[in-house]
Amino acid sequence: MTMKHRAIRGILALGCAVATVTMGLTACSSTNAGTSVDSAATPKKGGNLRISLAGIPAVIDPFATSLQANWVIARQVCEPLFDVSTSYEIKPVLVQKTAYDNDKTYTFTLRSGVSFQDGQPLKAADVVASLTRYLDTPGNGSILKSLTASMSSPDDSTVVLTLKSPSAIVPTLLTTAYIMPASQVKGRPITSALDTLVCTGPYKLTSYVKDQTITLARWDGYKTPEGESDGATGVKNAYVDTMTFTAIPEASTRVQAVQTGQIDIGGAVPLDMKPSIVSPAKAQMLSATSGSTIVFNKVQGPMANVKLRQAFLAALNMQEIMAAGFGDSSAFTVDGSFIPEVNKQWTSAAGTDVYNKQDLAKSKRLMTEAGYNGEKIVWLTTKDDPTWYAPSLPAQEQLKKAGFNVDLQVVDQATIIARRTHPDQFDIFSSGIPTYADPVLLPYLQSTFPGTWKSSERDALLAQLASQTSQSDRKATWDKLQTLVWQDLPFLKFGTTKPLVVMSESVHVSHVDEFTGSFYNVWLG
Amino acid sequence: MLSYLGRRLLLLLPTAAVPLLLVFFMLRLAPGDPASILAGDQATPEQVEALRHELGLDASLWHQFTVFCRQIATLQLGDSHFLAKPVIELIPPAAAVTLEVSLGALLLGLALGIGLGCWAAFRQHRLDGGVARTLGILGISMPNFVMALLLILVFAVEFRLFLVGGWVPISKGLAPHLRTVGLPILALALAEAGGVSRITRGAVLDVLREPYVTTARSQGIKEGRISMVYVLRVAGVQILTVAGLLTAGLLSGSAVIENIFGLPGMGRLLFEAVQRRDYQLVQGIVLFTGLFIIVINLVVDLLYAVIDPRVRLGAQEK
Repeated sequence: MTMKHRAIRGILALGCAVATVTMGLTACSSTNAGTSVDSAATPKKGGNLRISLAGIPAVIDPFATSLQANWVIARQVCEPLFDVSTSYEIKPVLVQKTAYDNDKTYTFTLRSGVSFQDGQPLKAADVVASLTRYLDTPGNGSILKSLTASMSSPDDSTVVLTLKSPSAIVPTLLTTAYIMPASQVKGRPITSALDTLVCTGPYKLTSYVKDQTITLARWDGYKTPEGESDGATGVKNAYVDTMTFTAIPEASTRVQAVQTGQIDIGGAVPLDMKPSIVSPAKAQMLSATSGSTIVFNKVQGPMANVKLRQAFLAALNMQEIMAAGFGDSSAFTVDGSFIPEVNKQWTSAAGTDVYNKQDLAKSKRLMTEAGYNGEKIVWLTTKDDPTWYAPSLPAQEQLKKAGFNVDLQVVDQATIIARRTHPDQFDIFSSGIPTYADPVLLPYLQSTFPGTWKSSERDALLAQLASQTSQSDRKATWDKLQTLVWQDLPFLKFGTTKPLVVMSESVHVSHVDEFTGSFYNVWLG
Repeated sequence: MLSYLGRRLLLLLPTAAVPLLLVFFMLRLAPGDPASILAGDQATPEQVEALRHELGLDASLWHQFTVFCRQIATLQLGDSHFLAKPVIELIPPAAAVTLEVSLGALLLGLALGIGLGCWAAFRQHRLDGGVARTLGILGISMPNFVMALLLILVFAVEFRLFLVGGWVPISKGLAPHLRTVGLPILALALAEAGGVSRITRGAVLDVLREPYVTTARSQGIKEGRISMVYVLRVAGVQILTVAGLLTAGLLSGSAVIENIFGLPGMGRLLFEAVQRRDYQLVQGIVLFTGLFIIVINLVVDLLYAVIDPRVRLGAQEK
């Protein structure tokens, strides 16, 4: 392109942008970008993969934070005993053989020849030290802690985990337990975050400037698991020589940085930016995995009445809410399963006959039965996460028409996390759920989760789900539990959105859903 | 002069204390704390409480306040809860980025603004003077983040003269460094130049109507000398006041610009610290920024005496 052409395009772009800004139009957006990844391209090694994220994690030690956005570096550098494929199957990674006696004892035999990036061989004592620290972490770690009676390492390649009661979910709970050398983690509290990571993964950390840049380099001593490469399971190819992570908080700047060739991957961007992503950048929509939800206060206030929660659900047309909130109909699914379709083992339609069935007459009848007289209902939401915020405004409009008096309070995410622990400060709060590998991991099902759902039936079903060992029995129990949720409505889901990732056309990967956080199977070309 | 300087420096302490006290209490009154953010949204209340205890956040407000006062008195501002480093070590590199961008923008903004303002004033009844005035109004009307996005579109996306975002330190070469700081400086400078040009135009026009200017003209003094010596020097007092205010404004304005361009400056550090409720870091940045603005105001006050002899004469008469 000549300088003259650039000048003309520049003037046009300037005029176009001014018009956009001053008139509030989006007439300058270009045609839609392609949405498929060129999986046919031949993989090749080499190059530096430049990734910009909204922020560089301030904490890279995955045990020191339960915010999964901070785990992006650990995912490239570290490995757990088991991990999750793109279809949410649990497969061994550092484990060669698992023996479960269908009662209380798991025996894991570690893969031979695996070393840490400092050259020390992986031993069972490292696994025990890492898991002991992991038990103190929130989420999966604390669930595993409640199940575990003891852990031991009878020899260098064997780990024995003894449970208090039978449970089939141990491998699932171990998918976030990254294994590190005992010399680094033994006796180290989770509040004492590691500033560097030495693990067994395909890339090693070469530099880390907090809040600024992180550089990883392929580790030549890596011993990959066998099997078809799929997400974090199977062969990890480590195609690129190095990865550089930088922070560009503004999504539009990340898009333009990809377009100018300054970076290769710009991470997740808002769905409404899709039309503005043009060659040489491309927009890649991933599978629907992010559930937009709300959680009710079951302790006090008007929403503590189950009939009013049912009236609330009957007032909502989820199709319209998702369409108004997210625009592009290809960007979301309207489904009542709390485990989205991408996880074929656990997706379920049980109990969803009440989902997305707007019936204003039924809603008014239930409101009357609940004794609701237009009391104010405080709904906390935040713009910090678009999947939390987007459904709230259209839902508020529908609720208003049904007769609800909703006070929508838009605050920052930190404020929601703080206020939702005080039952006197909210009636509803916005939230979001990723796709879990197993329904037991869904935090909303725990009685300690804000909103406090107390139900003996839930307790019994959850205990069954945790202890059953047959997959078919567990699926039947999950169906009952999901049905109970749609009846009792401790929380509800509007729909599931598809993350939109922006990247250069020179970026390739076999499974598009790997862009959710792992980059070792990405190649440039 | 020295006693004046001494008095002003003594006044620094209470002036800096006010924003510090405000930010201490406002942070703790705001919902959320570092423990709940650090533990994540899956943590149980017991786990958050344990972390809160470990970080000393469950102590009484009075106890926290005494610790805070001790830290300020000893200039040991504590450690950032998230970045696990002393605040005193985190601020200088971020401040260097912000100051480079802000001062670059200030100088460029003043040069452009004064030039445009003089042009609009000295040629106020001509077409080009009208154009200069219009450009000034455009600069005032357009927020700096809009200016930033326009500049990215034109100079980074289309012409590829600058990088869209990110940061290349000067240690990696002057040219790549300038490609990262060029657009942020230009975005801030253009937005500020509008304000400066309006003030300059008004000040120059006021002086041009003074009888001594008419007298100078009647004495046959050349127009160039009248402009430079008789007009601009007097108008300079008003322009200097604006420059001081602009410096403070640039620090806050650069927070937005740093987020758009992904610069690791103080604005972004503060933005992220507030989001994370990183108390120590927010307090440290507020202290630094407050002191910086106070010192700039002091320098501006001292410069009045240099530019305007009446200020010095007034001091002597007392």
